[in-house]
Amino acid sequence: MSATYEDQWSCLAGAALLGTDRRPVPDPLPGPMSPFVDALDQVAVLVAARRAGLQPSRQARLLPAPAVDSRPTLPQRAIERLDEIVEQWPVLLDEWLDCAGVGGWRLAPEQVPSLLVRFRADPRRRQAIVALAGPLADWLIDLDLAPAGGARPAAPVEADLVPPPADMAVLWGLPGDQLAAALADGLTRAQLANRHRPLLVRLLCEVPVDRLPPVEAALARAGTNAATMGLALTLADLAHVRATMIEELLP
Amino acid sequence: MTLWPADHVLALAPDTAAAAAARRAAVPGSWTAVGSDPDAVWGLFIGSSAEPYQVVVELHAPAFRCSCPSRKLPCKHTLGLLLLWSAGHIPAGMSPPSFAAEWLARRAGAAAAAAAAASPAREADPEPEVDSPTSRRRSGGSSSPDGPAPKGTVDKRAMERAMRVAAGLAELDRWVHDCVRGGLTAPELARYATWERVASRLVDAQAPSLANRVRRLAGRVGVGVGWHEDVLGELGVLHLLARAGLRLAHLPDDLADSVRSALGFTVRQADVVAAAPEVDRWMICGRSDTLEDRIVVRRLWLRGERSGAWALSLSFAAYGQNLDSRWQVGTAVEGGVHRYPGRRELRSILGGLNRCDAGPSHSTSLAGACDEVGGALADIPWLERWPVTVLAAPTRAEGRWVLCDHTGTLPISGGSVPELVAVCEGRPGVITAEWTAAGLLPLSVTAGERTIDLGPRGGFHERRWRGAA
Repeated sequence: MSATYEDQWSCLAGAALLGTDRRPVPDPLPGPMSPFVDALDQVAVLVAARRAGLQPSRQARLLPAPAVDSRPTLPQRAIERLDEIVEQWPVLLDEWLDCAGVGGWRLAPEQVPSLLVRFRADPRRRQAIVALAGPLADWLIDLDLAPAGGARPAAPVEADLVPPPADMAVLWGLPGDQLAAALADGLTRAQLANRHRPLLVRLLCEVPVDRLPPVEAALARAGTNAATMGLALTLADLAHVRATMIEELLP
Repeated sequence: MTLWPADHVLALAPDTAAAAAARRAAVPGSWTAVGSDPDAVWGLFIGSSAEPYQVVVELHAPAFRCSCPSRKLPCKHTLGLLLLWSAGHIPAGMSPPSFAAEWLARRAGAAAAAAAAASPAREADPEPEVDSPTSRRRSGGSSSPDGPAPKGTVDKRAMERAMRVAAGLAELDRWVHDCVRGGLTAPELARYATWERVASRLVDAQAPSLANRVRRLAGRVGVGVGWHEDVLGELGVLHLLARAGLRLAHLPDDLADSVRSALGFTVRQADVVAAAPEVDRWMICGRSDTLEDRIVVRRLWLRGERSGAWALSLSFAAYGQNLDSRWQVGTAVEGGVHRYPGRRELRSILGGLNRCDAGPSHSTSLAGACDEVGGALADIPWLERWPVTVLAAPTRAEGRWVLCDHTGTLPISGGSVPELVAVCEGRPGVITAEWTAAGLLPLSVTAGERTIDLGPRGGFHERRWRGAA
């Protein structure tokens, strides 16, 4: 578009801002615009021309790339699992971060900015995320696309708040089959109920992972008590997510 | 029928969230009037709504019905009922209550009629036969029912509507002229109520799309440097549309259809699918969800691998409903799409599509994208968005984020800039974006073998964990 058309647009914008009752509408430019005397006719023509005549502006310098990170990016299922854990089972997040580090994985780049935002005030998790993101994390922070982090201490997680009483501590030492049977029986008889949820969550987050498959299967079947069926199925889901995430990260 | 194992039930879940929610719904205390017979399971779910949800499952098909507003199929209530049945909590040998009996009878009748007709034709929609909120609403929020009306009635209605629309457009054009005459800094233009009043008049005049455009414009008054140029430009487009709408009879047919579409005239879906489909292998290139007048609009951009043509699938969800999530960005489908009438019209109805392997993406330079967008705008000057796929790198220029390649730069208008920059890591990527008057809105980026969905998730579908802890 020629400068004359741009000048015409500026005149029209100025007139419209103050009102054409106070500032007169410029005469149409000679040529194709000449039939359009009305201010809005001219605006419509110029808007169409400006938008349709879009051209790239002059070139810009590319960003310097971050240092190369040779670690493999997480597999797709683990990327989706991290979303699920952050949303539904944050109690598993620390173990997920540890396993991803041990497995030698690199975070999916698209997850890094939002994780850095979410845990900017949680130094422990933020540090783990920065380590898993590699040079990309510092690069994004330098570009102002992620926060540099704060110093507020992390809040304690749900299961840390309740120490296991002696009568339940025994569950921690049971082999998989016996643990599965004890949990299923306890839930069926309602000896284990929602008031025990924090401890049961903690138990399933702490027992060795090879005990989880029988526990998950038993909990999924332990639905004969109406009061505890929802809890049983929730715990089965936790056992499933934990076992699967470890399998994905440490194959 | 033998009880299904729980994992069989959970395998029906449309996603992991639905499976988790189903487990929470599988609590006997939340159910009443449950029962089963060899063919079906039913129950009433007592949730937070005033009326319990009526849930029925026909076990042989299987087919599902739930009166909840969810678009997921099966929904969490249906799966929860099946989990209860699977665990032996549903009494067997019962007679279905009226809500279940009526639906089962309707299904049986439909099956008998279909068998009698012995028609091999299959409806365009690839979903299984169900009676659920999904199928009831699948026709979309802006389309009219498909049932025919007597011709005389249609003519009279069409005439009345045309007159109402014309009166609304004339009033709009007068108001736009008044705005320019009085000045864009007039205090009343800073009040949303002023714009809402104009939009309401357009709704009354049966031009709902134009009404939404007026509402969107209201949010731009006083926002950013040079806002008056943005607002003036859009007022010019409203003037253009009003004038075009008053001269429909003088326009070429395809352009008149485009004007009608921009005003909000509906087209019967039956008429759209009656036209020959465009058959191709369609790449799902991008998705965007935007909140418009309390409705979330999902735009799914598809591109034909052979033709290079774009198509747009629209779906809608009100509060509490789920959007159509059958198609994922980065995947491909093979089959036909039926295009709505209009010049350069992209909106389409997806026909019988089958998943297939995704091929390489078509991409162009930024200058090539400008040519594509410019060509479309020259034909349809009131376009608000147009899809492009470019090979470019995000970078900073003059204090703002832009896409850059050997032909120059174009501004990025917002969206997931941090994620886009993180994925590209300073290098060019294949980026699908929506052109808008404010710049390019990134929808997806392909890096290596992965295509990452970056499109906006407007309104109440925003991912919760994107915020700070």
